Amino acid sequence: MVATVQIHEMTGTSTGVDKTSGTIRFKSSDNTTVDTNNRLQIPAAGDNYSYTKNLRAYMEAPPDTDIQDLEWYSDGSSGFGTGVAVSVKAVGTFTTNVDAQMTGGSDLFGYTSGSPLDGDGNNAGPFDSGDDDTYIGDIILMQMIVSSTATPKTLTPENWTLSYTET
Amino acid sequence: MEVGEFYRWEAEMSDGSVITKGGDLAGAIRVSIIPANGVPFPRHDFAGLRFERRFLKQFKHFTLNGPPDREANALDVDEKRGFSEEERKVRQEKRRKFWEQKGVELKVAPKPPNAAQCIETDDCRIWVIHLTGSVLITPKEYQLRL
Repeated sequence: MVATVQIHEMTGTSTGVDKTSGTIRFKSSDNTTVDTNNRLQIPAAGDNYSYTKNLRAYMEAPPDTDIQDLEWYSDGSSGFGTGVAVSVKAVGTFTTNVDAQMTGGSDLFGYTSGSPLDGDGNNAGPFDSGDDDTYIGDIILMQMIVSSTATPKTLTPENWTLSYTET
Repeated sequence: MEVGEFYRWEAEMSDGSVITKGGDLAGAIRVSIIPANGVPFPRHDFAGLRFERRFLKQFKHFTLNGPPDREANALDVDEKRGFSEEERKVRQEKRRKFWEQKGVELKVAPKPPNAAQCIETDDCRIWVIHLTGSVLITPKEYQLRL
């Protein structure tokens, strides 16, 4: 049987909202709703930070044998424009979302198909039927940063991809 | 049907048995990648190669800071209502003009998920792409990412 793996936006250590083929929206409020409320403000000086987002893969149906080699990547080109960036890092445990600056992250668009973010370096696989209906791999922690050089606009959507190997 | 189920695989071993699970293809004399019922893509059969292993790569996408769900779902709703591609384009253009006049820009829905069966031989990898049914042959160390 082919596995079903979803991408969840985490709301707690073991709970989340299915966002596979959906949208993650960075906001000045901690919720998963995709609406136009709580927009990030452009500061007069310095940077403003969105609430962080915790993303994780969820095994909704198990594979015949196992899943491994979880990786995450972008298309390598930011369409967000000047003054808007996203920082990302892989961690082992859920952390409550905050709007203070997230440290230790790297530019999301630096992770490409040729150089992806390792998605199971902290919570290593392989993952099999014993992991059915659980979260697998690392938590991907993300935060949007808006600088004073940004201009008011609606951002062009950008894709973020999860890939994995299944046998 | 999930995109990962668009194709299934089977391998015929030298003793005549057929396997459909696992990843080890050592000793296989034929490997077939077969479309599921209702999937309008070709079957692919491979023989005369020194097979080593197989696996499935799956690719899931989502968007960052995409449009509010109302706009992203409009195209999906039209498809489920059974409008032809021509009619969907006309309806999409009408909605775009309406929302443009209202001051909101319509955006396209996120990239669809994809999958690829991989058969690894002693000197190459053969990929069958689930969303198109096409075959790609790459060096053995190549890692396909869609």
